[in-house]
Amino acid sequence: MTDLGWLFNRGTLTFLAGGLGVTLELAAIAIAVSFVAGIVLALGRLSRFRPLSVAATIYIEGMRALPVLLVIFFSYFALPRIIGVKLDPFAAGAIAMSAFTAALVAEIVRAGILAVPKGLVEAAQSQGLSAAQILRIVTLPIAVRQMMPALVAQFVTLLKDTSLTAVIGILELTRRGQIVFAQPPFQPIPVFALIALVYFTANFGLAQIGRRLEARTL
Amino acid sequence: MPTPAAIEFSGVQKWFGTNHVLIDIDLTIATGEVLVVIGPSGSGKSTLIRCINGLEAVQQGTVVVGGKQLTAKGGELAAIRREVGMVFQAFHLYPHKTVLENITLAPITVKRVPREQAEREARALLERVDLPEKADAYPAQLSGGQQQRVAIARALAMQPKVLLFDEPTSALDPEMIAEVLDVMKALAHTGITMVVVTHEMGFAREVGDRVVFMDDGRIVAQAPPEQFFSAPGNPRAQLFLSKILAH
Amino acid sequence: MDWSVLGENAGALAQGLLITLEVSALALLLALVLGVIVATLRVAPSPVLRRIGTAYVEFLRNIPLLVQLFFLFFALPSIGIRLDAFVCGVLALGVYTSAFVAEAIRSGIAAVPTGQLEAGLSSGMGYATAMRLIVLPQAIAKTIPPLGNTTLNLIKNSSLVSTVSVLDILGTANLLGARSFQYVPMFVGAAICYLILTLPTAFAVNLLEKRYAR
Repeated sequence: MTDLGWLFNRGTLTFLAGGLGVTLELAAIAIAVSFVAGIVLALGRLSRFRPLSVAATIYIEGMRALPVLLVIFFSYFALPRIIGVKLDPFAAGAIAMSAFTAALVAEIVRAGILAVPKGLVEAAQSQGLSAAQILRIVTLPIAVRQMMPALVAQFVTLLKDTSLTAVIGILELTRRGQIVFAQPPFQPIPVFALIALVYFTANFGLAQIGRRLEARTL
Repeated sequence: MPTPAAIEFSGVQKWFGTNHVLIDIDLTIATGEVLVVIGPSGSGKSTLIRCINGLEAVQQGTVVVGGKQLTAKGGELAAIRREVGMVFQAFHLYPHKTVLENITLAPITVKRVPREQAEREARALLERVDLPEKADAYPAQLSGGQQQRVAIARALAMQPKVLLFDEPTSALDPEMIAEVLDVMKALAHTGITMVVVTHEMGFAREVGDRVVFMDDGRIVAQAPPEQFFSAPGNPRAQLFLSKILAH
Repeated sequence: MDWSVLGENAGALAQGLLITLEVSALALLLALVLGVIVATLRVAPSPVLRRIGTAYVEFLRNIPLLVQLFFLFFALPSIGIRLDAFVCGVLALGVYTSAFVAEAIRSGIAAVPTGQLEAGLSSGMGYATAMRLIVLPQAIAKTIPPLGNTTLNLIKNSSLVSTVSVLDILGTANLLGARSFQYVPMFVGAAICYLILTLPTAFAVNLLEKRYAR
């Protein structure tokens, strides 16, 4: 037990580091997709065109009411039967994480947009900027700055939630940890300690980046 | 010599829900005129000037600005907004843009002025409002008076024919009011049409061509400042003046 | 797709729903008790206690719940502690959620302006009276919305117990989906079960949020 050479050797650590790579890759894809999709959904929900706002609201509220694990299982087992395309675990996981997080990001974006002072929009209107220009140059940049803390907290949650894709067989960090402790000498505790440390560091780091962004934007 | 009208309200009515906020407004503002709008809060004076650049839509009647009618939407509205600048009570500078960017934003994006030219003009405007050294500052780093002077420069950057001021000094600390009023007084002598909602009676007296008094959504009195302040000719205007001039 | 499996297995799903409720209720109880204790640590006058409270919260919040659950289920037996899967689920969920409960309570107390306490004190109240009559009622009002959201997340997070083979809603749907190869109807059924639990909770949270938004 005192000799941890079975864990701290090049092969095992490389294997686990690869898992962290998959975790970060999955999180990065989901952050990028959900950020864009979240803005689109938020604008949809705020739209004055009723069918669009109703559809966006149903999507957002429905997703928020469901466990992400259900969405992951659905994406892997059920979605291929609906769309008729077989999905490998990584694709299914990325779709699930993105689709789920988009709904939560949408609510953060919506709150951010609603918090932009009306007077700033009026100032831009009175200078003749078009609605699209106002959205792009005034509303969204200010909204994004205001929602940075909530957004970073959401991405910390996302990073943690990627661990759930282990259950559909994606070889990310948690899954690879399971594989390591399922082999001799069958010592799970050091493996868990190491994985926990890695997650903690990644999330804590992400939160620090968020705090710095917050400070920089006044 | 009659000058052409810059702004013309005819038979304008406006409601917020069931609240009738503008009643039978007929008002002609001449080109180059400095019109001061006063009245108790809730009298409709802010709503009146917000109708000039379409921030509020009128429900009946018409507003014509520079020959363009405002009941129409789209192109006409955009054209009017290009020629009408507005200065707000709470400044509303874009917090994520520097002073220079605040001023050049509309010329570059709306008028397609080349950046270099826009910046040159912006710096000239900053000289005019006496803040040349603040070009690269962010709004949050400025005092209220400085922010409002930048807001005036921002409005001027579009080279408007009409400037609207919605209580431009009401959010300022007393010691900063003068610096903003000085800029406005200098502007009043340039021949630009100005519509100013304010409680600054000294400003009205000094540079106003005409004072309009509003109460409960109506224009109840109007006269040149000298005449208005000596004999308002309306009991409610009289009462308002006695209250506001008492301190 | 054969939607009749849904009807045939409605009983099993209902059973799963009960398990989800049971896990959630027990975990919530645990989370509230631990959360109040940790929140007290976080506002304690002693910096050491405050640091312990902060470490507890940051540690639990930044490590995935699944890793914590797997630790209880897979790692503890290696040192001779063998817990039932259901117990592991309740413990992991309750301890994890207690960090969020503690944060909600702490920020609620911090959100009451210090002027409120000072006003109470300067009108002649003692510290305890001012706390009880002025600060705490306001703090509780500010704590209720985030606590509601935490409860909502707890219900959703309870689905993780299915990964250690507890037959909650998701576990049941997964099992029956694999058995019948009718994944779509079974997961739709599971989604409906979760909505039955989460939508009324969300509605209640919104209601409370509005009432306390003064």
